Amino acid sequence: MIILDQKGFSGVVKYILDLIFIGGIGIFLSLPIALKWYMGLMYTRTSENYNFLLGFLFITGIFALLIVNEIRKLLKNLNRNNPFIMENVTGLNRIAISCLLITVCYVIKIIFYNSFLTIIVAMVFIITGFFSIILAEVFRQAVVVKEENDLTI
Amino acid sequence: MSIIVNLDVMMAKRKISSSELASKIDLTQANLSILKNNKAKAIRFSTLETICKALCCQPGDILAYEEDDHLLNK
Repeated sequence: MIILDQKGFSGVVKYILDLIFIGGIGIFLSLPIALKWYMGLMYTRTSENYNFLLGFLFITGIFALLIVNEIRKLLKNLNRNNPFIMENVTGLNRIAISCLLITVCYVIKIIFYNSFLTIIVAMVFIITGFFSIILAEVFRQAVVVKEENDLTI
Repeated sequence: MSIIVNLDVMMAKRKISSSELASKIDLTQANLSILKNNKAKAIRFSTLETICKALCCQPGDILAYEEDDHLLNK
């Protein structure tokens, strides 16, 4: 199976991410209603405050949508068989910043409303953030090597 | 860069056009113009070999070393 191609694996992932992005925008816009419905359905004995949760989900939702959008852009460049460009480096750095900001939000949530799952999500985002910083540096070095290679006649 | 590529001088001496040379040494026109305009960062020995063969010259006829001005001023 071809990994990096419009019709390969990355093309399929890009398509799934497009759907997630559109769905994410839908959920983000309908958050006040969706959250009320969800809290009534699942959290009958919850201690979590509706307004706090709404604000928290709005802030983390924006960052999550930004991350999905950046990954979509990244995959679009990968599908063009042109992965080593500076645009991808800045994209990965933006993903890292968004991940770390989401982690900050989750740490604040842990202080007020602690739960085991919240800690796991915070851990996942902090590791993704750190990994994105490292991956961005790897891409930056690859861009330099590719430039050197392109200018070797 | 203090290494100067004098390919155009040699090409003029041999009366050969860049498209002709590019097809002779199996190089794209774009890459040849990078080389001619001193934008190249490195040149492979194999490329140098084919250029020398095509133009009947020595590497010294194509490449020259010139000291940078800002290095002289220091």
